[in-house]
Amino acid sequence: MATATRAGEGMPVFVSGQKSSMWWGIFLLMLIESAVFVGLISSYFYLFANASVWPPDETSTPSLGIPIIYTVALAASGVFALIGNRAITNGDVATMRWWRLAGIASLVVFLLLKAYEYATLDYLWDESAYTSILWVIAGFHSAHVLTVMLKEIPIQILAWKGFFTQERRSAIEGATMYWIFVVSWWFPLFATVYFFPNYV
Amino acid sequence: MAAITTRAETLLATWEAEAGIVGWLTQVNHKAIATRYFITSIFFFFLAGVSALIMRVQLAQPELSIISPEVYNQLFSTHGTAMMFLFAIPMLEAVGMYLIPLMIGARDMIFPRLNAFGYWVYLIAGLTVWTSLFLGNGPNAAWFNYVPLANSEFTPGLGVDVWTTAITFMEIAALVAAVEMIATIFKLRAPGMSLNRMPILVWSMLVMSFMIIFAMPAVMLASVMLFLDRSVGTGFFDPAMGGDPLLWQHLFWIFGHPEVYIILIPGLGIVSAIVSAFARRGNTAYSLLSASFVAIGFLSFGLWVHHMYTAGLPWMSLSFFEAASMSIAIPSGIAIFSWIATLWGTRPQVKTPLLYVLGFFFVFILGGITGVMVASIPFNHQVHDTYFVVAHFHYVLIGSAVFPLFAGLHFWFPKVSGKLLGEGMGKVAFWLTFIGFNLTFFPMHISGFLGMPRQVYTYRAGLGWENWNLLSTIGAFVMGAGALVTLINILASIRRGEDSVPNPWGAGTLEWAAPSPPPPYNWDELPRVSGRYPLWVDDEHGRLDPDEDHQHILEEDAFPQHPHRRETPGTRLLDSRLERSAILAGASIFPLLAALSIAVAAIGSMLTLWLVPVGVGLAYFSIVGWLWPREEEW
Amino acid sequence: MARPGQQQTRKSQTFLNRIRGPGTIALVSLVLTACSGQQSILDPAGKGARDSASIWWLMFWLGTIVFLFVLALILMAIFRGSREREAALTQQARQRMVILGGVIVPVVIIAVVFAGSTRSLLGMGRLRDNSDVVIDVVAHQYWWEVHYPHDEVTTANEIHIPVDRDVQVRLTATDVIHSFWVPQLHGKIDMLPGKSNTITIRADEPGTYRGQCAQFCGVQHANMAFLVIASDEPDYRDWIAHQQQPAAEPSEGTLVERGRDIYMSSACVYCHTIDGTPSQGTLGPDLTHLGSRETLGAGILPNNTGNLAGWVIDPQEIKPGNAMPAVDMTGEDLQALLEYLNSLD
Repeated sequence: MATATRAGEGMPVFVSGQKSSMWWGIFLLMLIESAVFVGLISSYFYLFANASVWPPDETSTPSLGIPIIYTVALAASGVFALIGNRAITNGDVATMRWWRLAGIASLVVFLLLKAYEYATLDYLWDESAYTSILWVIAGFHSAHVLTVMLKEIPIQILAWKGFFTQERRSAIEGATMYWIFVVSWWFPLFATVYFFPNYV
Repeated sequence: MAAITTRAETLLATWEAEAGIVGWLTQVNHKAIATRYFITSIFFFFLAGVSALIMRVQLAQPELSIISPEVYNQLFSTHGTAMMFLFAIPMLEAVGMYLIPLMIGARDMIFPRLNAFGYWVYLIAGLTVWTSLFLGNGPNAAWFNYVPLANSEFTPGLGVDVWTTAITFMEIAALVAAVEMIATIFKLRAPGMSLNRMPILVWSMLVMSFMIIFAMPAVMLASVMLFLDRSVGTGFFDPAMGGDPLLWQHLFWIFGHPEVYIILIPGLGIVSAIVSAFARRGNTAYSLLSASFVAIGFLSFGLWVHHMYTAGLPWMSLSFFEAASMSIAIPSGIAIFSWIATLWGTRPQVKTPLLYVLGFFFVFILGGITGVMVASIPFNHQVHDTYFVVAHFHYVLIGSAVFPLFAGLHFWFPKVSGKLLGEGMGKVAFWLTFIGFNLTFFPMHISGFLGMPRQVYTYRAGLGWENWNLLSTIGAFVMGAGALVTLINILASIRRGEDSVPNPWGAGTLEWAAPSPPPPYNWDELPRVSGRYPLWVDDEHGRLDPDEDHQHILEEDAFPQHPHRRETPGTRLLDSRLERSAILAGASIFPLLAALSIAVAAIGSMLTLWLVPVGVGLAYFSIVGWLWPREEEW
Repeated sequence: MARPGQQQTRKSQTFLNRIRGPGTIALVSLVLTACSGQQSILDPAGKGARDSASIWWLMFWLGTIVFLFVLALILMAIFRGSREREAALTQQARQRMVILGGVIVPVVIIAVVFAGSTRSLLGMGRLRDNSDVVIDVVAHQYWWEVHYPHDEVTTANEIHIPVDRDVQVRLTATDVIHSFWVPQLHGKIDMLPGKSNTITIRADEPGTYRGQCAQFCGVQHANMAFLVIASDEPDYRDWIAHQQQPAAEPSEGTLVERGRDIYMSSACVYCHTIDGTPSQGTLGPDLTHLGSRETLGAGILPNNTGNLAGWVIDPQEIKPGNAMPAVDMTGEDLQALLEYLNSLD
């Protein structure tokens, strides 16, 4: 089969979306972690089905006030991240950086309010299976938010040093994907841990 | 001529690892990492095998006291844990890791540093488990650690914590390898190798990897919950706190059942490759065969309750799981008949790889049949937790993994080393292994019928179990001898084996077009394929292309476009059309640093929980360093 | 093209033909020897066990036929025919072989097995008649606590049941998961702490049936056995009546009385109950009618003076890791204690 050029002549190195290795790595990581979240939610409902009273006596149902506030902050951070991602897709590094910084700020708000909630919760994880699963679900997710925030720091530094361009943006894409993933999973977890015991 | 030499030299300079200890610690090449996996898992296999031999000596006669019950319980728990997590999965993954790039025409896997990271994590896991056993603190609540026994109240000490730590490591290593394989298979296949032209072995590795992704998280979750129950007083499994011991069983078996099919499916892939090569014919019903792997993968997630039939769940709800458990024999049947049809009338030469495949047929089919039997609820109520089940799962596990691995070893050894394994020794080892295996495990069906439960360090005289146990013990040593002969064969052949041509079996898949052993960069010129068996002119009759240079599939390509960068073609998922030049990572110390950081967190957690944030912090910096762009990337 | 395998074919075929006959005989006799035994699944003496055994035999014959057939096919695929002759066997024919052998035949066989299995399962489930014989068994590491709530009888490690009656056994555990299994009567059911599982067993003939814990429960899991003794109704009622009696009072001035006094002043009272005495501990087996039991140590030693002595002096020697400590007593005191224990029948 005669080809005018040698195979692979002129093939691009920097790609985005499903062409990039980074996309696939993050996508598969998302599948794995989704399996973990599904396992956690299933365990929650399993323990609920096993119990006669839920939450057990002497344990208050979760309050919704502060959680609703930080949920909004988390959702906002996701929106900021997406706007920042759109900016770099169009090649605008500076805009991307500012929106990502806004996203980081929102995440910090989330984490501070979360820390306050944990510090003032009147039960620890070792009181019952209910408190155990509640703390583990909430803590596991908060750890993910912390991870998202921490990984934005080197990204900010590299952006400041001019590493990212419209062509070379798959890392930003991947980071955004994961950010939205962590934000999105919060809603089913919120519904399970905060909403459900209040309305069951 | 001069141009080609320069090209090979350029490639070598780019892809070769540094010499010395630095090169060894920063190595990321898939073949080197796979070789490390092989050697390490063979080592752990022998350790686990010796553990079994010690147990068999203790059980050879009633009421012996060769070892104490505590030591026995550690031995059987570690044997199971090590065989499943430190031998079977890593070894099968290593087969994929070595062969996939060669079979799909790529220069390496898609995330080379992740590969290396996976190995270090695995090595640390294995050393942790075996060191603790030698120190008398091995896992001791069975490989499945049922609670409440595995809780700190009933099993204090480090044993179960070693288990939860090792599981965490093993999950990370396996998940990493799975991600690696899926992304590589999806995105780095040679131009023209659409999904329906991939070798069946690659299909099996793909299915295995997806199964790992969905199954491993369940056991990771369970082991973290167990660790928390033991260390910080959570109550997931404690009935007094509103928890449920059955939650552990569900989570564990939701992982545990797919796990055994994770082990089976790559074994079936190996068998398919060898059958096709020896029959000199493409796998009959290729689409049905690959679909049967996918079907087994899906179905295996719906069977787990068959490990819990006796737990007191409502009996009629168990029937669903009985039906599903029996049904999974059907895709297995498709695979078996595909191989029979492929072999039909071809009169293959019965060399050692095919001998082991025949052994696989015998052992696995027998095990599969006892599997349909134990799927029956009323029958299961009698044989659950007896030696009948021990017989069943050794037949299916050794049948589906060990025999294919031995077959694959003899089959691909020439490609990996450039030498042939001794054929005479191979046959002797086969018969010792096959006869020894059956002598060990067939009598266990009978001692199970006679009422012998499993996981017992001794038994009373007069129940009729003595003679069968003695037979098993003798068989175990025969089997051990077989494994030893294979090991000797490997060591001898590496030094003084007969040199091999690149394609000693006349097989049709791409890896046989690469040199033996392949250089670090695998291909001088990258392949382009237009059929399932690129080296055969005719799929039905396996006629080799007489051109040894494989001009019709290898062509000079534009890679590397960027000298001194490790490049391989990136293609589209479905039809494998060229779409980019994938730059692969080179040598790096960060995989090792990241693995050590996680070790600080996980192993440290057994000493004090404060080491967890320390380890995590170190891991953070390792990962930042790992991903930080290097000079040439700016 | 030379056919190097041709000679091989004839040799292997002859070899196979020669071993086929004796091989089958060996296989069948191998299996039949597995039938009898005091803990044998294939020596059923009760309805539940018969249901399990019947599905086993169906699966055994089907399985053997399938196995030998597939093995024969594989050997034929490799050793028979020739490429030229089989060229008539087109790719389509081979694909049809895959569908027939890999899909159609397995579906049929599995459907048959599933139907038979469900039938056996329903049979086991039918044993749920109202039974007035109720026994509560509570598993401990590593012994069995037994109560007859309707008759107010408490014993340990040995269960008596009337033949031909449905006996409801309610199972639970105090510590870890155990499993109640008496193979000749019924399949096993796990005993979980905090939960109660129930099975109904029924013995068809009088006899002594051995059972064993069938879920790994710790260091002495291997030595946690029990006996189920099925007897005719009158014998059963006699046994119940006897068990309802408190421990016999020793006569004055005897060694037995001295033994009782030694017993009451030693650590034994913290763990064991002897009905009619101040010894009311519940951590260990009830000893009121120790002498009437056939075994010691949860089914692992015959109950005789020598074994009892050995057990009392140092249980850790016999069953290391179980909860009973050694007794620090010598000579005459020990003699007296053993006399007392022997009197508790």
